[in-house]
Amino acid sequence: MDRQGVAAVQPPSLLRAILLAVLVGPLLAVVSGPVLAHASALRGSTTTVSVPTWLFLSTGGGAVGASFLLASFVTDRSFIRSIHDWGMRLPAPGRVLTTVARVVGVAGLGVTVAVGYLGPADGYRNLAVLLVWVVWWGGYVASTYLVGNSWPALNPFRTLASLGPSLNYPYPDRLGSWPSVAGLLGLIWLEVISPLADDPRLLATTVVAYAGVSIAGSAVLGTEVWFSRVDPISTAFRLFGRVAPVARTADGLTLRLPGTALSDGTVLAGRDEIAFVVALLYATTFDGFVATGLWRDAATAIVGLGVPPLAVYFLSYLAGFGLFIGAFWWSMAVARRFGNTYITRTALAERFAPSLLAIAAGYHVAHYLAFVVGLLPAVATVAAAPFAPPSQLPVLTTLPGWVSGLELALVLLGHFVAVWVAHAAGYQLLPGRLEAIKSQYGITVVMICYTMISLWIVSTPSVTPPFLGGGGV
Amino acid sequence: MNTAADTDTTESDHPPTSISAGDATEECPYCALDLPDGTQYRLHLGVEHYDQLSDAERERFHEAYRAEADALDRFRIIALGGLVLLYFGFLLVYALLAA
Repeated sequence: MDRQGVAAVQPPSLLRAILLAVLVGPLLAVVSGPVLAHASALRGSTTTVSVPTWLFLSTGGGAVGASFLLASFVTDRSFIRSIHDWGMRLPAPGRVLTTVARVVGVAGLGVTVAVGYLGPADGYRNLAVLLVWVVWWGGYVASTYLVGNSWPALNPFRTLASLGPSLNYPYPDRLGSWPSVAGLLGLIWLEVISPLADDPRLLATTVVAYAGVSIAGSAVLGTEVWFSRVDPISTAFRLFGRVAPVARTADGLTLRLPGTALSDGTVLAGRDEIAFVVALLYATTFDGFVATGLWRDAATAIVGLGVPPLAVYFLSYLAGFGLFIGAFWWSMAVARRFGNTYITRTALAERFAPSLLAIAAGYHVAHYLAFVVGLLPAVATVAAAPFAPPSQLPVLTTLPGWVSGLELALVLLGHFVAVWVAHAAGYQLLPGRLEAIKSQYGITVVMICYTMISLWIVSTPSVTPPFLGGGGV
Repeated sequence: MNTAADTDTTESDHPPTSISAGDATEECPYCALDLPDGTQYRLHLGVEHYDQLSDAERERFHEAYRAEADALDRFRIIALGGLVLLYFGFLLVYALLAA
């Protein structure tokens, strides 16, 4: 790889790019300003929207579009590369720390199962429910993309599975990571249609079943193969970890700018992993969509025609996933055409899809930040007496206004990182600078649509999903 | 600076391509990447293999690079226009709604 050729004829475009960014930066700040001012609409179903929904949605879409336009001013390859190559080495965690993490993981699993079966039967008074949905799925998952992926050390299923012997049966390579895609879609499906979030007994049974499947699978295929190819949770955390600044490498820990590891070119391999990323993004959307009035009305109408409710849910679930895959695949056709390249769509998708992980991380924060902060006092209270928690739990119902502002800022930040990662991917793949910009047309349109759909979901009053009898976080 | 080993890495590193019948293709002599037309081909040579090029090839790359810079300037004007339109468009709409 040689950069001299570029440097030789490069006008001081780095300077020009910085100058332009400084000049037009405030534009973006103003474009995104109204959204921040309006953040209260995110907070709950009862707040009235002070600006019309269409304006709220198009402001979000406009902010994403503006960030694409802004990024298009940065065309200096060596500058883009220098941002992505910046990093430093950190001392590796010692064996003691790893062992402590393993013990904590297994202890957490033990407490979850024991309290899930033996503790109080109602949802938020049971420590198992709080541990899984608040501490783990809300708080811990955030640490995988904000700090780094520590799941390989903490993962209690892996620790337990590695204790037993393994047949090391050869894994059929043609399956790739498709089992993890199916597993992820299955888990989300279960979470949406069952009262997994309210019923501690069901939750404990699910956790035990998950542990059983993991241990059996590892016994057949080997721990390494199971947790890298089949296990959906490990795959999700590994991918979220690529958004984070800290990464575990062969010789210790490395620190990089958040999101820059997404453009490494080693994040995804093959259509299976691309589909996994899209499924990860789709998960939040479907989970939120079934709690909208639009879905309630549509589902009620279709069920009224005599279709079984569960079939309506299942077919819509698959159709929505197909739509997401289709939209992303279309954007890669656009990248191939406007990028003027013969690189295959799959190869393009391997480099562009990681940008979506930053968006998924941003929306995860938006969904869970206030939820986790609000329930932390309840977690502490219940943890003090898991088998006899008080009937009234302390919950922070009124959080300061800046919390929802922070949520929205993180959603936007996720989008900016995503736009930038797609920009860098274009520049790594394509020799023409203009082609590198044009190759992002499709994915920018997809990101704008996704933002508007997601903002619509979070700003729409949420209702109980029909026909399910409660459930869902 | 570019050794044979470097070229080998590039060769195995380049992303897979697919060409349909009737496409005009040029293959990079250094890394075997298929590229569509003259401009993309010349830019690729200059960006990835500058040290290995002859003077004539370098000159062709610089020419393509300059031509691209002109196109890029035109794009930037449109992009800046787009930003201004977005900014004042939203400003206007919000001002109208606030009134």
